Amino acid sequence: MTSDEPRRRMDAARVRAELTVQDLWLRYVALGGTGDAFDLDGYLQGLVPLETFQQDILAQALNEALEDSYRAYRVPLSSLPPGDAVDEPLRRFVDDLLDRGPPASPEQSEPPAHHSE
Amino acid sequence: MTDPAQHADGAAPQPFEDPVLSPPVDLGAALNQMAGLVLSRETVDTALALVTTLAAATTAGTLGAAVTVVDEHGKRSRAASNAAAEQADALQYELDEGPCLTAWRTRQLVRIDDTTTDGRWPRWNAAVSALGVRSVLSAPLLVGEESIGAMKVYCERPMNYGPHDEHVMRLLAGQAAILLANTQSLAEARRLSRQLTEALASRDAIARATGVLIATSATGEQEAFATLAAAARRTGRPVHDVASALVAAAVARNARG
Repeated sequence: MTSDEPRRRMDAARVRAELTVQDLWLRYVALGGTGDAFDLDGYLQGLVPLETFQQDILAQALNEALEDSYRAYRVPLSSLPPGDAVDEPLRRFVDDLLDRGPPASPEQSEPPAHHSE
Repeated sequence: MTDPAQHADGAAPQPFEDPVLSPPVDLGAALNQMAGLVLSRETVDTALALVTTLAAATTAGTLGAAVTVVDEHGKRSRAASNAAAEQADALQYELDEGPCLTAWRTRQLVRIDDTTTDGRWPRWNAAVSALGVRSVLSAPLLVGEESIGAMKVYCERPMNYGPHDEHVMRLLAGQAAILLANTQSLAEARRLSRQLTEALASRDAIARATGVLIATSATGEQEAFATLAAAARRTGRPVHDVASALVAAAVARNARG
């Protein structure tokens, strides 16, 4: 019964975010999910298993949908101009990620992205 | 698509039945106009407005016309030709009774000759006769097995509609139902196509970011996704934004050398 818990929480989240299985599937595909709508439907109803990685993607899709529905109710403050204040932490975070450098691998790989200008 | 009429331009159609009244406008031209609309890219609202205008124009003495659409979002009127038609419809939904709801439920054409004497929908009849509606004709909109609503005309005179109007309304309702079903599925297909395009763009960005992370530190796709999801949680941004920022930053670094 405990192994069923994540699934039930996910279906509850789907209902809470007012998503149809089709809408949820679109969000899941947008995040890189590889299952089809029937896989999701079957999993959410407890009929078929879903691999852990796909469950993670599904969970993220649900969290973003919940966040969106919550955000729709937020009230803006007059003193805070809507700007890119929030972009700064993201930029720093991304720089940190890139600064981690390649993993301790024997050979140096190619740079990840080629540019042509 | 069947061609509803083959009349040469400008020629008045010869009715196949002897009509009680001659049609006020060229019905063949009207049907042609609707059939053409299916092929062009018009919005649902434009299509509905055309349907009610045609209904009002092809039934003599009509005060107002509207279409009732019934779907998973509930019952509502669209493209009402005037305020009276809109009010008369609103009363049907409010009282949950009336000729259009009956036409929709029973799939039968409904005619009221006089709202002051008709006993079938007492509350609705009383309410609309106060608005000045005396006679009503309502035809169901049928697509295959499914009833998707009703189309109706209201008149301020009693005994206004006869067998000829019933015939006209049946013809128009048949076309209107096909038209509505078509425009609704076209709108639905467009919406889905737009959503899929957006989903694929997001998916591309995430796949590129996953590649960047695998090239730098992640041990696999799953770990790369977990890293992106963690960054999303820490920064309060969706994974798609994090992925785009990551790819942009990687490109900028490479450009600097």
